[in-house]
Amino acid sequence: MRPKGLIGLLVVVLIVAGLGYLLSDKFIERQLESIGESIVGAKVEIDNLNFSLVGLAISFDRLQVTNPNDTWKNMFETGRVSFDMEVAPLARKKVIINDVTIADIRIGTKRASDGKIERQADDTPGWVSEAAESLKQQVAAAPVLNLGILKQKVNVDSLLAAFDIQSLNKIGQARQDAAASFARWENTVAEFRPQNDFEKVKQQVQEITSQKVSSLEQLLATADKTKKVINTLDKLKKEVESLKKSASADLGSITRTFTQVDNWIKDDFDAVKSKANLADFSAQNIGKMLFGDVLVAPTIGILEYIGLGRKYMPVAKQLFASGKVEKPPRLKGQDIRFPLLDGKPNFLLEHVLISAATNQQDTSKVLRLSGEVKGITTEQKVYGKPLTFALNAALPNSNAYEISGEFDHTGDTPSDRFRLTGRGIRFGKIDLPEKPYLPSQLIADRGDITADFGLIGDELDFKVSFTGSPVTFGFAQGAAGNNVIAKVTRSVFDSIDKLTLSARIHGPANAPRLSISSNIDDVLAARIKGVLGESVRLAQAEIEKKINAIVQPKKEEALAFVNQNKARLESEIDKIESAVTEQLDFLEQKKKEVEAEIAKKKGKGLKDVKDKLKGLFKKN
Amino acid sequence: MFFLQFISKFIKVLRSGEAPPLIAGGFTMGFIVGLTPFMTLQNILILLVAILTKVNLASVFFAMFLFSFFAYIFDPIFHNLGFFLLAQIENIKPLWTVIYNWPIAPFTRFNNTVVMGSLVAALLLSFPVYLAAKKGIILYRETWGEKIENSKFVKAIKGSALFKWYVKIRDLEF
Repeated sequence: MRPKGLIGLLVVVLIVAGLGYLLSDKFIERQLESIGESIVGAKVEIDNLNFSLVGLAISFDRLQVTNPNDTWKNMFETGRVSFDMEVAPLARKKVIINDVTIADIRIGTKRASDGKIERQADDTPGWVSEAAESLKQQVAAAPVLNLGILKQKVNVDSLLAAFDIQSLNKIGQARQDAAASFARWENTVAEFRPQNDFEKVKQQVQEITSQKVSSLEQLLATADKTKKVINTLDKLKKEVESLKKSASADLGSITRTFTQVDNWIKDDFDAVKSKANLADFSAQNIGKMLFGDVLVAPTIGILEYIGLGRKYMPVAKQLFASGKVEKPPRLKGQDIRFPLLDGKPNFLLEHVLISAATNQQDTSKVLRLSGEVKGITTEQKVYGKPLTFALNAALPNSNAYEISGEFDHTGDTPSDRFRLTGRGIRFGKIDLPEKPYLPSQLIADRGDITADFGLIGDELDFKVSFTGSPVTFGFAQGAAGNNVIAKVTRSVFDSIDKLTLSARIHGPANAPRLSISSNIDDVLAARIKGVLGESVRLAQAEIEKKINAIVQPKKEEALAFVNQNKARLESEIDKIESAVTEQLDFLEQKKKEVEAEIAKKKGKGLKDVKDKLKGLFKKN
Repeated sequence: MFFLQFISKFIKVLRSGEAPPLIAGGFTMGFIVGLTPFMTLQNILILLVAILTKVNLASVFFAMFLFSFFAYIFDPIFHNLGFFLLAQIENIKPLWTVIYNWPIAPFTRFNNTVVMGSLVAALLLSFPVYLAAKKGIILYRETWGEKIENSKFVKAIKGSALFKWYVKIRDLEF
């Protein structure tokens, strides 16, 4: 025993513990800020965090979360917050907080310094960017009112000559991709060559069939041989099934690509119309023209947050992916997870109670928030429950919005839903994007709103309906002018007293379709069409006809190519599969015959054989 | 200087009268700690035992230093071995699950592929390493030490400026 060693060790332990205690507050504060910044993408600041070892309580004086879109403002900031953590899970680096009450939230406060941070990489998932791009394009494709529309004459041939028809390129590219895919599958099928195996199996089957079975030894040998052949065929069958499954997925994806062709043609048609200033003033497009921007911007915001939620709350199959990391960083290795009996996730904020009023200078804009959020966790599968929330938000002299929802990532398919309802809400002035001849403000004294958002897997369905009454529209000064279009739009908007609007954004999450309709659409569309006259309609029809004449043959040729190759490949794979199945059926029959024969012999008192045969026909 | 200090102390130990099992024991402890990632409960316990018992500490730290290089070189092999043991043998998964649920399990980091792979390798090799180290010390003292001292090569080296510099360092009192 080395007493000096023991004393030295104690001194080291005391120094480490002392330093740990002194630095723990700053360390935890920085860790929490860093996690927050990686989620928000802008500065997150915690003031005076205090970590108490007694009861593992944490408190801080203020939390500021910068608005990533305006880094000189906070998305929100809180006053003093305190909460307790569970002790035991900390040993596993698990943070379990049962209850937090946040009673002082201020929204949109000014920051003393810029909250911008340099981000390592864009965290926005690919599908969110694609969805944002698609929605913005759909709004941008909405028509714009201008006087030029009334005066122009369109030469469709010269217009098309100068236009690069994108659908032709896309069809060409899709055909090329499909051809490469077919060639790859042809190779795979050719290389698969089960013929050799078949020959071997057939030979063995022949031997089994022709073999004369008179003695018990021969019977056993036949049984053993039959079992081996069945195993070989089983293996072959599994390979064929796997091949068929992969081929079916790949060929299905080719087919799906070609279902987009009509959309590509429509996009071309819209682009040519837009180039010729022949915008389509149908009721459908009027909705997008008027309210597209107002709806798309918050939708993109919601999708970004849902994307982040899906990243930080992975579903079960992502959470328990246990594939080998081939080259982890040196000396780091890979942590293998095993089931935990206590079922605690790595991070859990079980219950957040919010009861706050935003501290605005203008008391008419103070927003009162109340409600609760349950089950904020990084591992829903482990926790076993989805994140749920129910909140109320109200402005003075107004009814409250009710917001409730559920983000369920407990299974393999994420399901994110929420519903917002508000009855008799005082909306006041709503700014509309400035567009020629259109109002820049909607003033709604009272209104009802319902928004249903659902993103199940990759399928989005977001419905919004709004009714406002009485409503008035404000125009930017000097924006309207005094021409015929200005007169038409003014008279339409002046006659509107009640606005009913419904919008739907639905379809694949990365390419959702936007549709908006309101009670203004039909009236305005009819009036504008009346002004623009028949010539525009005829020009549009001609463009459509000519684009179809160019693109349709290519489309049909490509589809014929795809269908023909797909059918051929599927037939080849089916042939292999049915040949394997046929042999298997035959051998199953043979197996039964041998089994029956064995049973017969067993019945005759060959008891010792019974033990030998035990398990012989068990599949490997 | 730090490394030379280790070598100097270690050579002094080899030539001193300290019992070979104590030096070999320290060397083996250092071998285990050096070969495995440092921050684990088992390594802290091994060092604690080394400090509290009379094994030679210089040999512990020398072996730790030496084998941490080997750990770096053999890291991919340890990762593969650890993954095999933890994820690919179905029969011992229930055992890992039980251990994983022990409150002290996180401190051992046994579920890390490199920790598991290197620890198993180190434990399997520890006994041969101990025997080899003990044998090596005895041999050094009985034969090699004298032979090496009297060899032409060493004599030539001893006359060089570099060796004189080494001697100065070796004889430093730390």
